[in-house]
Amino acid sequence: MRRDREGFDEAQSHRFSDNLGFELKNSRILIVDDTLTVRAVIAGYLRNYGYVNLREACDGAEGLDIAHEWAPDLIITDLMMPRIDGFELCHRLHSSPETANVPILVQTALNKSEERSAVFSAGAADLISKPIDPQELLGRVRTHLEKRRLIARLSDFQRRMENELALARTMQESILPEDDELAAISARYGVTLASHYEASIGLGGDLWGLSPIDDDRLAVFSADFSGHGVGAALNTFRLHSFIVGGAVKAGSPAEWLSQLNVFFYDLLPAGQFATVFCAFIDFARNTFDYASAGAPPPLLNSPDTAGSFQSLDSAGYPIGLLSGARYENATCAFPPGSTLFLYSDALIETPEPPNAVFTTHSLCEFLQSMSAGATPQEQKEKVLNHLRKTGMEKPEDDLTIVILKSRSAAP
Amino acid sequence: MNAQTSQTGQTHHIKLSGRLVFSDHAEFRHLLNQITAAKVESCIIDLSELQSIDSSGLGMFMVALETGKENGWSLTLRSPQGHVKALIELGKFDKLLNVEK
Repeated sequence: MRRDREGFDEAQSHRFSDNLGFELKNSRILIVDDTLTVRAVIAGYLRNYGYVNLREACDGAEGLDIAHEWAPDLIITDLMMPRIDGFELCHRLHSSPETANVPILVQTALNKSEERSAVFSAGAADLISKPIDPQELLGRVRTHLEKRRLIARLSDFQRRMENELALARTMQESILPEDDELAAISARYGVTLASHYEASIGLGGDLWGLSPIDDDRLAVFSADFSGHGVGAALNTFRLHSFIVGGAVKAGSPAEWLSQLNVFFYDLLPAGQFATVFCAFIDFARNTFDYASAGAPPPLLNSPDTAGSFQSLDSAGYPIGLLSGARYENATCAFPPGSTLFLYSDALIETPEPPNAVFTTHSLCEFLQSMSAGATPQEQKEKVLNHLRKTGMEKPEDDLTIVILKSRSAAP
Repeated sequence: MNAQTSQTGQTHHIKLSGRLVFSDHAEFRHLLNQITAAKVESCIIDLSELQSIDSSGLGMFMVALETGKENGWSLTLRSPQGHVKALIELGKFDKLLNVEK
């Protein structure tokens, strides 16, 4: 059998080449050694195995230059070299952002464990013992190239997902009421509004909205889909489509919830649902009707509640769980100067109960403790500041707060 | 979520403690498979030591109910306390599921 000078027979060399995929075969490998014959031997082994993209440097200084200019995928270096030695080369490659992640294989005849650990401390990814054994060399080179390729793929994938999520987040924010829409509603109905929306993991399952019914009446709703992340976020888009699709011609909040339930009962798989609160505020009659599908109890402050915040009964079947679920309307007085405070469960479940900062009851007291003249904006900020004092960077669930205050009666 | 399981006769018992949330989904599904595999007639989930639950956790009970119906076992939730009890009542889950005090 004919053997080439590197000791591989031709058939074996071909088989190796076939094993190297296109990406691996074209990996850029830099060989740094001050001995020409060692470089030639290493290059020969690699070329025989199928690697086609090889460059050589005669010492650390040249190696450093090539590393910066050529961006190799892997560097094989000797330790003892003039000008810049292998240790220094590792240090410099590691301290430069462009080359910090390139795996470096160090050829060494060092056998003492402290010497070998010094090589790793300098930033080497692996060692190749001298004299060089071709199987060891090829095995280690391949392992590190494959690892690098996998990391690159994962990073690419992660970047792509981050971009996708950023786009989805922008889309989701766009289905929340916009500032000009809120300003127009404030002016039309004489209300002051404040709101906060914060998704727990990029995308959220909360949605709230306002929808004019006629010159005297305004509908407000707040919904929270179970779960969070992409699935819950997609459900908010379904809800948004349901609302803007003109499907809402309900005569009352309870009727609207029933319609929503019919729509979502067929769509949502077992175990998924939404809690929803909806009120139709009538500014001519100074009342609102509301219905709830298991939403956290909204808070109401009106001259009728003697100026204190009180929670509303909001028990009800969540949307999407029970075929033909029926909802009840309730009516509350909402004279000028009244405030309706809606929130998602994250506000009373951060951190998780029983250690939560707020309960519905303590939230009432907290709002009560503020001056009577506090605006919705001020109320919102104080509540959020208090929540964050606990050190929670971000609630574990999506957080929505909507505060709506009707204009005080002219003195 | 922590779950202690035992079996007496035709009944599978699960005692949950800690919190039951979004991230427990896979583990809870695994529990449901265990119940089905045990070929029992009923399952009682003891909630007396469950501290808190989120909407996904409540959803898991609905999944358990469906799984039981499909596989021939009945589901009972027992002794919810505090926050868990309040949420079960808020969403009228006590009307959708068999909840004992």
